[in-house]
Parts: sequence; structure tokens; C-alpha cells
Amino acid sequence: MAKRGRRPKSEGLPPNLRESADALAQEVADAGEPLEAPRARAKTKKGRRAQAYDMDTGEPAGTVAMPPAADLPFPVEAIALMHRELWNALAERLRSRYQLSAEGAHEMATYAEICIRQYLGPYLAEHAALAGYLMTQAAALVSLVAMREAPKKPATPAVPQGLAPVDKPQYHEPVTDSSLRVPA
Amino acid sequence: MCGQTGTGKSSWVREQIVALEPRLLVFDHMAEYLEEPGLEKFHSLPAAILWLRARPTGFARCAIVPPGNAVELFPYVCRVPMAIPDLTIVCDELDTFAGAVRPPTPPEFQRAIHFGRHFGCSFVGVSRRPADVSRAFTSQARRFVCFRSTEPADIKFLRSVIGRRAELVPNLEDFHYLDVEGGHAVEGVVNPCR
Repeated sequence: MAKRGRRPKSEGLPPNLRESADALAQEVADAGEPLEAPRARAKTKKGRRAQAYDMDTGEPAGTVAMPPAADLPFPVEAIALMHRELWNALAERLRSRYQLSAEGAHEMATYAEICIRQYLGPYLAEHAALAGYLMTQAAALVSLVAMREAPKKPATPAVPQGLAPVDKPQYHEPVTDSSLRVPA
Repeated sequence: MCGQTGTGKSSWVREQIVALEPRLLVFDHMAEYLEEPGLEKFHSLPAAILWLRARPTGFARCAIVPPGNAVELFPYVCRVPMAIPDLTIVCDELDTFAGAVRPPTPPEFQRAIHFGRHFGCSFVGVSRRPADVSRAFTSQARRFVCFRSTEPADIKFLRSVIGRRAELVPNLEDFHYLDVEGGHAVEGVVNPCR
């Protein structure tokens, strides 16, 4: 029995512990300025480059050195197309190699895309090197998690319709689509 | 996770936790994970919460890099597991946010420690001084990863939680650790390159 004047411990806890993510986010946003004081500048060049981007929207901040699209040495649309093709190719390769479900491969490819963006950001180089580099990095980064997700029992590799079995992944396939070449 | 500066605590966290956990929230108040691949970096906790809310299952790995007062933001971070299930939260220098005496343990942190398991929450706390970490945390910790520590008060504290194995801690070399979980102890070496 609780003594007069002393609250039992249970009265200090809310009856429902679960919180709403939206309400919590709004509460933190309303807390505002005390939580948003200026922060220290990163010490390395790569860290400063990361700081130069708005990490909440992914868009370049005002101080970033990213040139405007018109000044890039390659067409932005080609980069977007190639990225999408690489993403699709990566998802298919993950699905066939690691016997993942389509949903699992989709999820893992999205994870790989996040990792790729952290490595390269918007500073894309020539296409052939980019293609090889993206595939290498994506495979290296997702293989660790894929090994955890792979089924325990060895399964007969599923050969996708129309594709030859993949015994060993080729991570440095050159980009041969002429539409992706840098215009002279 | 405890040990002197430079003995490999951060390397272990990167190698064993950050690289492997599929659902992860790193409270990066020291901006050490800005260059870590595979983590979405946020300066805004509301943005991170909404990003996590959009991913209630599957991969969701992010780091909060507080722009200002990390101590004031910490209680809000402790409430995230109540809104977002199945998260592993990593916090470095935990004794600066929830100390054995000072600073006082935030009630939000106590709630996360005591009830977080109902929401699938795991908490990884890193500190140079385990004796200075909140007892609410150390009393519920199931695993202690100890790097070299020579402070007598810390050794005395470790002796109270991991027993006579604490005598091995002062003699550990750099990047060597003692991993004690469920009464079993294993010595290991972390990759110093990370």
C-alpha cells in the first residue's frame, strides 16, 4: 500500500506506451530552435562534401560545388536512365544469385542504391567506369546482408526466363548502349 | 561497450553493429558516421522519424547528426522505439546523456530500457567509463564488450557485473576485447582498419 503523499510508481508511466511517429516528429519540430543550433564543420573533404547536401531532402545545399546540369560533361537524362537500368539489373542479379524473392531483391537493391549514393553522390564520372564501379560497390555492400537473408538449405538456382545461368557475376560490364555515350 | 580512448570501441561498433543490423538508428552526436556507407544521414530528427515511419519493416538504417544540443535531443531519440518497431539504437558517450549520478537518467531513456523489448528495440551504449553509465542501463544489459580499461573504479564496476574476468581487462592490448554474454566470455580482436 502506498503511503499518503507518495505516488505509486505506476502512476508515473503513461497507460499506453506506444507513440505516434507523426506526433513525435511534430513535437520535436515544435521544440525548434534549442535543438537546431549551428554545428561544427566536418574535418575531412569527404565529410564537408556530405555536409554540403541537405541530408533531409537529398538536394544540394546552397554552398555545394555541384555545377548546374547544363555544365555537366554528360547528359543528365542518360545518367538517370543508366542508373535505372543498373538498378533493375542489380535487382535481377540479386534475385537469381541469392534466391531472393522479388520483394527481397527489390528491397536489397534499394539498400544498395542508398549505399551507392553515399559513395558517389552526384559526382558521376564517365559511364563505363561508373557502371563497373556501381556494380562492384553494390555487390560488395549487399552481399554481406544477402548472405544473412539467403535460405539455409541450398536451392536449385532459378534461371530467369530468357537469361543464361550466372555462374560468376561480371561486375565490370562495359556500357555499350550508344545512347549513353558522351556526345562529342 | 566500454574501454579507453583509441582501444577500438568505435571500430567494433562499425564492424559488428553498423555493418550488420538491418534496422538501425545511430545517434551520431560526434559526427563520426558522416562517411559511413549504407546509412541515411539526417540533421533533423523529425525527418528521420518520418523516413523510418515509411519503412516499418525491412531495411531502415539511418544516423541522426544533431545540429546543436545533443543532450536536449537525446530524450526524443529514446522515444523513437515506441513509435518505430524493431530498431537497434547506437549511442556513443552514453555516460554524457545518462549517467550513474550526473547527468540524471532521462525518464524517456528509462522507459526505453525497461519496455523497449516489447517494441523489438535494442540499445547499444558506448562509454569510456562504464562506472559512470546509468545503472538503469547497465542493470538491463545482457552483453558487455570490454576493451582495455585501467581505471580502478571501472574495474571494480566490471567485477560486479562480469565477475573475475574483469581482471583481464587492464591487460588487453589495443583492439582486443572481452565479450561477455550470458555468463560466457570470449576474447576477440577487432579490425583496426575500420
